[in-house]
Amino acid sequence: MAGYGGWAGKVLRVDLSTGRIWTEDSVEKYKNVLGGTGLGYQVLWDEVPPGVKPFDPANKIIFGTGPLAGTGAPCNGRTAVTTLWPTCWPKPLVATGHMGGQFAGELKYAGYDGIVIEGRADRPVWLSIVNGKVEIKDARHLWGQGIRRTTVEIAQGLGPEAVVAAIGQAGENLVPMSVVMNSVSHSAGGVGAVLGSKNLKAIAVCGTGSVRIAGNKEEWEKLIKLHLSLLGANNQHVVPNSPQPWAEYFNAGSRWLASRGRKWGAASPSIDTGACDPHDLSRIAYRTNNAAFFNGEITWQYTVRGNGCTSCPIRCHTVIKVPSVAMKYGIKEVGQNTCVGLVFGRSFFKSFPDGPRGLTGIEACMVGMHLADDLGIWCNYGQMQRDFLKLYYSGTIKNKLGENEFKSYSWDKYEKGDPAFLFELLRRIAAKEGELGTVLGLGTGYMLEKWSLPEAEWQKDHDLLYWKMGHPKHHANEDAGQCGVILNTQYNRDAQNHSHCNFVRSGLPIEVQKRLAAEIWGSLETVDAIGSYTPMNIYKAKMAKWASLRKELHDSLSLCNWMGPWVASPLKERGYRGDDSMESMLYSLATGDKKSREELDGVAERIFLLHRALTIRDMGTKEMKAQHDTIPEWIFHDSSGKPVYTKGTIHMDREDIQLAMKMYYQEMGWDQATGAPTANTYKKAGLAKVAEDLGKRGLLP
Amino acid sequence: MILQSADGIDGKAEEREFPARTIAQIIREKSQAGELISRHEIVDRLLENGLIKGEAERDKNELETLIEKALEENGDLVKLHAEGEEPFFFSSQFITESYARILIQKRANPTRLIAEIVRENSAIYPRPTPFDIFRQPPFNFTLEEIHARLAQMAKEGEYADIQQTTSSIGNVFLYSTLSLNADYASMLAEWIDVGQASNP
Repeated sequence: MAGYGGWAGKVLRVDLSTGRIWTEDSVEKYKNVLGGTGLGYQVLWDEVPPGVKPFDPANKIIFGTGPLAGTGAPCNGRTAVTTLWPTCWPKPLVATGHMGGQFAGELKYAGYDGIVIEGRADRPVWLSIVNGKVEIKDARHLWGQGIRRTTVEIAQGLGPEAVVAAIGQAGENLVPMSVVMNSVSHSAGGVGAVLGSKNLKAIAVCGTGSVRIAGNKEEWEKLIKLHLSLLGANNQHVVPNSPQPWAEYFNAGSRWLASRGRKWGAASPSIDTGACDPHDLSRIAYRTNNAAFFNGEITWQYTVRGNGCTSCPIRCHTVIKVPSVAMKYGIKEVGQNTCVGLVFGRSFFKSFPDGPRGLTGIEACMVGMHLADDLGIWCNYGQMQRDFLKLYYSGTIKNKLGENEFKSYSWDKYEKGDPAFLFELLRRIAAKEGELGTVLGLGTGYMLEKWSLPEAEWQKDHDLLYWKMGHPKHHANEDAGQCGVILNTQYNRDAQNHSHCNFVRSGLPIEVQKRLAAEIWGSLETVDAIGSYTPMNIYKAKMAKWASLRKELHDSLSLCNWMGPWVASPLKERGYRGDDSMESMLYSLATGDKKSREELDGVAERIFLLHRALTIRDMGTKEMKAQHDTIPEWIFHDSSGKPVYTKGTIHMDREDIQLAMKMYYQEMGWDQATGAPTANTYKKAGLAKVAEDLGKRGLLP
Repeated sequence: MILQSADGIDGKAEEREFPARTIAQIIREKSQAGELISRHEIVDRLLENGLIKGEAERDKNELETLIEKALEENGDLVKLHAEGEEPFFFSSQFITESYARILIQKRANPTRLIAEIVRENSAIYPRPTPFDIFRQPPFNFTLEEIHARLAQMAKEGEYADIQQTTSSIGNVFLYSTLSLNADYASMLAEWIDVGQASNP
């Protein structure tokens, strides 16, 4: 440990084939990649050779936290779950699922920075971690149970402080579209079946230790207060949704919903969220109500409170209480989740009898959460639901299913927008029951392959939001234009990169955004207002590089990329500036390893390069530009026929996007012809051995 | 007007300082609740608390002087009024000028308020403004009021730039043609109402 703070000091290793349990010194072995995704990529690079498949015992799954997890730094509750990705099509490659909740902090308090799981148990097991005591326990009585009962049963044994990350029936049944979930609603999508393939039902953690802060404690407290003062609402929206006494601006699209008169109506007594002046740090938790953001004003009466992760005041998982669902569907009247998890059930339907923002839509959310978060089904950023809508309304489901199976579904209920339909569909997905249940659980790429549907059709249809490799776009051209497009080419799943969109969706006027952008990336021309795009320039490429590195930094430090980076703030007196050095200041004080913003970004670049190297190695080609960084057809079209770069359209120009990729590769130090990093770029990042390995395989440009 | 300090001690040296401080406090307290305060309300508060005696309302000049003094001595206090209207006061510690303008225009000229909000949103963000925002605080207009204002705008040339667009889920947005064309406003309305939640 050499006196560093932040890190717990050990990585826990578990071989389920042999039952061997051991630890490694995390600082000695992994400090250069921080933790989180860095730890995951390093283990896969060092220990999992090309050709291993996701469900092979030789595949490893890494639960990685970073040096800031479990500290008092805001928004630190993230665990990166890295493995070979079962829904990555046509060939599984490295990717990471990210779960919040209490798992990361509890793991640190138990003394571990991460867990590396390998092998396959000969029977269902769960992993018990109580500080230094780690045991592989029999889980045969839990196999077949949902996540909720599994969590309760384990917690009853270990105590109420136990944090349980479990898979449901979907993971057990090796459904690729499955999750691991902790703390009621915090899931890492796409990895449930990898745990299922190892016969690992759950990991439960109890820790009574703490995380040491290496730096001066008063400075640390001061820094935490500064960080808190820069926070917005969820997704770092720094402008409120409606005019507030303290605010110069408002944005109807903001997730900062708090306002006098808007009440958590199902709390007892009800709680007025109030004006939430950003200087009042004790009221940050009242700003966000994601249930109301997604379901409309009606939702306030059902809102109980916000819930969320360790040390995060945002509470983006909104708890709602909807009494009618207990009577109508026989399910619990309380549920909680955020974003696509919250609207999981609603998103299967085209319409509801009482309109898009009525009670039925909320009931569909409740039924969806009740089922998906117990069965452990993943939605792939809503792609499962978009695929389902397309397949049903195009008649494909009817054509592909046998008559008996087709008739076994209540399609009349479905078309009427009856949430009860979800009971028929979701259980079959988790059980791989029938043709439809099976294909929906495969993920889009493998589904298209199984049903002989052309991927090109999906790539043309804007409504599907499908991008490539079996996955959808995630903040693409609708967020920062070319920058969003570039970022969506980089990963082996949906991009999950929020660095850019947290800035352009901050809610600030475009001139303020431009001023802040000029300070960070060098030009007012870095950002455009949505629907008023301009051609590519080098500053947009710089922003894309920054966004790539900050995401990787957050995922390795255990900071939430759904909140950071914090380059804008709600504070008028700061000119709405945030602080682009927040990550390096937190890291330096927590660990005692002083690093400037640029130096820490350099570490992030090393981690991001490892991801690129793993992708190149396992794909067996250096032709990334042509074979990996691909772009779907739909982004080049606008249904109204408007020319690119005219007001009112966000579609992109082919030549301009080619230029964008070229500029990005140049900024990254990658070969512009292939999109592969050069040997020199690897060496400069301290990855000479990686370059050597790739060189031997003929995978350097 | 007889001025009295809280502990009842009269004194010339304190006479001008104490009420100015108290006035500042009254303005700030009101602002902290998100509201503006008029001169009359200040007098009422002073009377209620026994801080002024006698026929204060008659002594307007002296009260104006005291309020001006409070403003001079406290940089956060702001006087704002609509054209031809009585002034209102607030503390910038708690209320921004843009919010204060909403409250003042709401009393003075609601039709112009709606138009100005729509124009500002169209110009600076840029974005159209959801119709429903005017039903919520601090506007709190009824549906009938909003429709009446929009009908009035449709008749008056000075509001000819204020137009409407509807999102695919049926919500109405207002925009100003001074900053947004119809296609752009339509695209932005769809983005705010449907796009953002579908691309979370």
